Amino acid sequence: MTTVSPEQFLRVLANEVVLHRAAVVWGFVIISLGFLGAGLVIPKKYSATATILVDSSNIIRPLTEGVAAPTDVRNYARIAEELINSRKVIDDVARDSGLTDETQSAFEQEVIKEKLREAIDVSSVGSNLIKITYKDVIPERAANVVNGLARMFVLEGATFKDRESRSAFEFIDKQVKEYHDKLVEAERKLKELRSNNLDAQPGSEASIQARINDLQGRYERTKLELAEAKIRYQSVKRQLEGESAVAVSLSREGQYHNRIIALQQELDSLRLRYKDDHPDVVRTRHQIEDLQEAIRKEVEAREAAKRSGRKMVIDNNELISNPLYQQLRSQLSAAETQIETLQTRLRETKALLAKEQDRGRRLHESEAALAEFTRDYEVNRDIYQQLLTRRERARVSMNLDVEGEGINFRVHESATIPVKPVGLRFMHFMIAGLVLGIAIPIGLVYAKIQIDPRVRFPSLISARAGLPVVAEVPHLATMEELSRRRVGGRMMIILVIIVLGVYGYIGWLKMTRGI
Amino acid sequence: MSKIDEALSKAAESGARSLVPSYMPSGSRESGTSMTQIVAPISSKRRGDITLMLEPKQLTVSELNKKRIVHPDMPDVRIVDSFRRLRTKLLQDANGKNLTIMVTAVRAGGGASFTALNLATVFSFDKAKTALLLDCNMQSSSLRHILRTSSEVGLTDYLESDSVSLDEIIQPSGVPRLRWIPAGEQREITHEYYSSVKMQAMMKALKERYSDRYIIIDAPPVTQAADATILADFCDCVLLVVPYGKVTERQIEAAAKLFENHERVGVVFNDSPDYIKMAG
Repeated sequence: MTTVSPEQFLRVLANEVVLHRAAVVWGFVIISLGFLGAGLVIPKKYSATATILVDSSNIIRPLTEGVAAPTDVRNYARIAEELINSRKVIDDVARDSGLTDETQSAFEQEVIKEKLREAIDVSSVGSNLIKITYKDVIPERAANVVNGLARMFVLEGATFKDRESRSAFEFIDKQVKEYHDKLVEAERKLKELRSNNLDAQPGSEASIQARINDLQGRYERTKLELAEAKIRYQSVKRQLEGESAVAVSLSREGQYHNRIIALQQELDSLRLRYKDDHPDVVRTRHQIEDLQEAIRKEVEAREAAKRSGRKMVIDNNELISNPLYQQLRSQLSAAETQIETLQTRLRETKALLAKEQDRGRRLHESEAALAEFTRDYEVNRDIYQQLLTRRERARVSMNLDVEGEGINFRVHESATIPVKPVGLRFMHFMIAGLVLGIAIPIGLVYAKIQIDPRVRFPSLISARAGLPVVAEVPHLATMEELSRRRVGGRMMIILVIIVLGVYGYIGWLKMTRGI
Repeated sequence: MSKIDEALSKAAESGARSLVPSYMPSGSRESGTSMTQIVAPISSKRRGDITLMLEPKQLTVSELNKKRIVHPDMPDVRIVDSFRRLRTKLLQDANGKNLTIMVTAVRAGGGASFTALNLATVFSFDKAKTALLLDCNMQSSSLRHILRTSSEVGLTDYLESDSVSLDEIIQPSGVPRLRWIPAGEQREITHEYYSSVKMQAMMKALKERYSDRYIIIDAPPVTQAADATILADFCDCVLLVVPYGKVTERQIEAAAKLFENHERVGVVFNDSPDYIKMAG
């Protein structure tokens, strides 16, 4: 509606309202009288409130600070709600206030009690006040119900509180017992493990480790020594193979050969200085020849002796025992002995080492189990100790409540009979009836103009269809139409006056009768 | 001057009463009849002399009020004024020429007859002028119940029959200086009449009959066949009546499209409730 100005729209709206005046006026009559009727029918509600003081500042409190756990006022509001909604309290209050009596059926009574429960509101105000509110159509009854509830609460509150702290104590006590059993079980397990693993003592691990290290060192050392002994044995054995057991002294043949060689050298040097026929040279040559002759004879004699099978006589001076050989032999046997010894020692060390390692392994296993059991034991012990403390605190709290020395309830302000009703009052209905009676029908006409696609604004025609509006002809009413309209208009005015009269009369009645 | 004009003046002088049209289905065919002869002659004593027009019994003020016809002494002067303004606007646009105006509605019951009748009435307020209202609602005429007639014959009779003269169908309405041609007998199929040669000739004759006469055609609504578009061709301007709160924008747009070739088309926003005037 971009081309429609607000003035145009208001004009059309006003005209449409007049056009539909019958519907508008009837709408006004129905709505306004409907609201008036509703205002008459809907009962007035009176709200009564009582406050209960939760008195927790008594002489014992500073003494029990941190030991006993005093109940919070919010918890008391919850307790109050629970208590007030309990069957006993509701039954008593309903009967005392006259809401239910013997003439009603059980079902009717239940319905009334349910409504009563719904109408009660319990809330905590500030740090130590509990507010009980109840709404009723009869002001006296509202006050009675609230005062009854407050009285019942003060009476029942003490026992309820007592019961609650007792149940708290009992719960903690049960827990303490449970944890005690757990602790005993943990201790037993720990003892069993210790007796099963005697070597699993504190510090055992370090000593075993030192021993293992020592054994390992010894083992390595022995292995090295053994290797050395073996090498020595080998070398001695090799040397021994190169020596004969008996050293044969030089034979005559040998001696001759040696002589010959010496003579030959002498001869060679003589010949450098002298001629071959020098007497020294000749003499030397002869000596060599003699010696060769002697070797030949010696060989023949040996051959002859071999052939005849006769053992050749060996000169004592010629055969001697070999001293190096003897020494080597003794060394070899000493080395053999050492090897044997070392091998035995190696075996023993190895066995010892294995044993120690096995022991160490067993020690580790038992230590893990020990740690686990110890942990269980410690956790259980801590919880048990905490619970013990709590149980004692709960015991004190319980005793306080039992003795009535904890928190006290006292009716701080009892309910008075309410004078003014709460919620929507008759006046509100009257005003709403008049305002909505006018607004709703006009709103409907407005909605019709907005929704109806049919053209009511001439400016729209020129804007959309592109045609100029050359004339705007108002509705031409005939005389009959005008007189009909006049009659209808009067009727409408009379209707409105009647409605206003009814309003005025009822309002006046209400005023004079009191609100 | 065209041939038709010559013929008309000639015929008027000779005082011939009627000529049989050659194309009418019901009329007897006369050989040699030309187009120049089909139009009824005009009596010389009436021609151009408005004051001599025969005025039968006039409608009284109460009758006018009852029939929803405007008159200068109306209690609600706003309606007369709105029609007067419309007249003035049309005359300004016409530059002093005689006007032929067609009034049609966007939908049936849109108030075209009401507008046409009252526009004609307002034209006839001027004592020096006359108005002729041509009722072309052959299917359902509402004017026949409103205006007076001196005889039963109307437009259909004239177009169908050679024996009916134009003078016979132009009838006094009961409103001073307002003459009208009733639709005549009710007919269902109508566009043949409006596209006929006789219709064209009649329109021409009517336009020229009085120098100071305004012709207003009350045409059927645009929703009904093509009558309004055919009739628009005879007219200088077209008035499209849009009733208040009865038609949608789309209907108006569709109606406007029918006359998009026509130069002068205007909208008359009719029947707007005017109980309360605000901001002008």
